[in-house]
Amino acid sequence: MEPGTVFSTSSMVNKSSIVPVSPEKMHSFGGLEEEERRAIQIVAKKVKSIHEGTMFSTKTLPSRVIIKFVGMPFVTIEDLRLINISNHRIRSMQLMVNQGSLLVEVRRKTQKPVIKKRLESSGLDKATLRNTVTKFLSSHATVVRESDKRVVNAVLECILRWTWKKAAAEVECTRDGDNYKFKVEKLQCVRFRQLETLCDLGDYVCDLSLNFNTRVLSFSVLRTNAYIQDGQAKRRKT
Amino acid sequence: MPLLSVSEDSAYHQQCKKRTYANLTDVVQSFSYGENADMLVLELGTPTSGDGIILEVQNVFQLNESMLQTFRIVLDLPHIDHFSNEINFDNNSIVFTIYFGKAESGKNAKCYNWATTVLWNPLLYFAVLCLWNPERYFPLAQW
Repeated sequence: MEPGTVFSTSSMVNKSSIVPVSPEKMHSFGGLEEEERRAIQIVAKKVKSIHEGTMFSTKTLPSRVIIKFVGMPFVTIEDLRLINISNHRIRSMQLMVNQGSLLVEVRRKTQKPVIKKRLESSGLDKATLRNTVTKFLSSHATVVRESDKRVVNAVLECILRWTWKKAAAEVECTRDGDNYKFKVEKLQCVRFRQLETLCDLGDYVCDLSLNFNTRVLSFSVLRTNAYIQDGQAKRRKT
Repeated sequence: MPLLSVSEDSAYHQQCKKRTYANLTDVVQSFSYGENADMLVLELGTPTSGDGIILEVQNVFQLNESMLQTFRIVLDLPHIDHFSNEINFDNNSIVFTIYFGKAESGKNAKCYNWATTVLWNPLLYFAVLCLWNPERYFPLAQW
């Protein structure tokens, strides 16, 4: 990020316009169109409404603008969904757990011809996935009930997919009454879409939040009759 | 907390980790001057896809081919199976994902392993003495 393009959301958003008074100080906004500036303003305003003391910096690239938010103590999946729907130009959101920042990628108006990216094989086959998760579950044999093994398996597979070929995460699974509480540590970065894949497992995955101070991602898995009685865990259609 | 990874935490891998970390730290220190005076090596963790270590070199403000080549040479050791590096221009850092090979044991450990058994054999030294002075040391020569 360019050091000269750091703004405070409180000072920027409250003004009627975010067009800089002295363009040489805010050069990253200089080449932007009105609509792009408005998109940044809307996103910044939304983040500010969630966390007051957030600071942001921007990096303008030919195809996209990257907005980096720092100073957020925590963020929940509901917050991320709100930010995601605040503007149609948002292409992706990335939580940089190690740096304690949220990166929002806003698409610029100039569109280049779209080249379809070939999907790369991650090298994670089903057998490896199952073996690793089964090995992990064996260390939690006393915590996880037999009837809940399938759903906990699905949750762990999801986390392993996020971190495949990256730094391994430390996962703690504890039983809280009928439900399970998960804590994921040592995550480097995670995308909003990846978090959504976890939530897509079902309504029983809830309270997903990331604490930037402790760098811990936590969520609960509720025990329901739905996945116990059903033959197969169904993906929720959104 | 247990790691969600394919890797196994054995003594051999711990030793490999220490050795790799020490090697890379030494090399990075030798390049810590000028713009790169604040370079640091940080251990990010263990890769999920195998036994290894993830190391990050932070505060890299000047990068050249010789520096990268030196890093690669340092990581081209027998105990390292393969590695990949990723340059992050946003954070001025280089991330090395290093995978270790399996612990060598038995006959295939090293090509010069036969020497250790032979050198420790006292018969070898006796034979050398016999060759040097057969009249004194060779028992049959006295008869």
